[in-house]
Amino acid sequence: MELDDLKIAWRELDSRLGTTLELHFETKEKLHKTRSALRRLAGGQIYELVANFIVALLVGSFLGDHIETVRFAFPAAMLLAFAAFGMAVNIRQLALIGGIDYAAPVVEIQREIATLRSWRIRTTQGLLLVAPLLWPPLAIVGARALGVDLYRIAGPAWIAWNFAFGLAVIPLGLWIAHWLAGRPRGSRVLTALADTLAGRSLATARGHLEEIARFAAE
Amino acid sequence: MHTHPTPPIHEAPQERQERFQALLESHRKILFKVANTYCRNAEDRRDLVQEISAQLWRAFPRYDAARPFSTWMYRIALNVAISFARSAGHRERHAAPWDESAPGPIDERTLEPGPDARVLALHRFIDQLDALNRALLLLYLEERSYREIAEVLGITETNVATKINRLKQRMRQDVATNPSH
Repeated sequence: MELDDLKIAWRELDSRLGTTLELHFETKEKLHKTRSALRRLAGGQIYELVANFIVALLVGSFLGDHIETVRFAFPAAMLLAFAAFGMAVNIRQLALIGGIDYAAPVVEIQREIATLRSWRIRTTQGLLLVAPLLWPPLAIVGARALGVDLYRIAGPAWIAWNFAFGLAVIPLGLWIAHWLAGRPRGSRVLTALADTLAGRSLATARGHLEEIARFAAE
Repeated sequence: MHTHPTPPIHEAPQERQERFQALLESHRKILFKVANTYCRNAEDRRDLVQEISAQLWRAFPRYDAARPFSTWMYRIALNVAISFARSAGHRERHAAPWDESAPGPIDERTLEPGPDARVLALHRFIDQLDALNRALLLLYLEERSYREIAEVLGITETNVATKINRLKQRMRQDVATNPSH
């Protein structure tokens, strides 16, 4: 059988399509409501941007009030830096999503989507790794905002232990992610988190980029 | 390649929707062929057809009627289909075998050269290809010119010719290693 023989099979399928399928044109409203993967991603980024902005405003205000008290200003600055980085990531991703025009040539758009995916996975991986270190500053700032001084109540040792625990959680989390990656699991969120942390998702995205580069090469 | 009359500058929303609906109806087979090429089960195909239709409708205000509608439609349909096929949720279902509603009765016993053996060989061959080569094969089987294929995919005509020759070689090798095809 030659490739041209497949054209006969294709025509056979074509004739079956003509008699078995009907296109039910959806209403304009329903078409507007249909959310593509990119629209869902953009929606998620907007929610995250708003959340990060609110956190940055609250923490910025706290930092302004405690700028001369280093023990409170330092954890607040850590949280502010995290929120600002998150906002930058959200804005960058929204700009990348906004630049994707599905009516452009396939290779070009698939390369843009694979680049976006790869970049998103790397930033999510970074943020997940840093997240365990944020618990102590969050507790200090949160407690202080409620009028409680954790340094006095819990003591510096408690804070140091929590930082140490956060540091210890990072390799532990990586080990668990590597252990979970590739194993069948029920939760899609857990799968995505484990694959992201273990670098599996990034490898897939890079694989897609390589596949596109090979295809585009003469 | 067909182009379409340029719409009036101030087209009413209702007129635009009717124009879109008419164009989509006259090119509806493209939607189903793309969905069949990238999805194995009926649920995925329905979702994909819906997603492509929605994306076409969103992009329609920017469609230049001086250019062929089919080229524009292939680009959007293939871009959406490839992204859909690569999404994590779809991959889980993608691993399932062809379901009963897949086009064409496929019976492994009818492997003598005939319509069903060819359809089966076609599905098997498509299954082996990556997302971009599937797009290339689909456009080739649709008997699109090398120029139009190049325009849809964003590669040169020479590259299209090279890749189609490679697909032909691969098909021959596939037949040589699986004589039942």
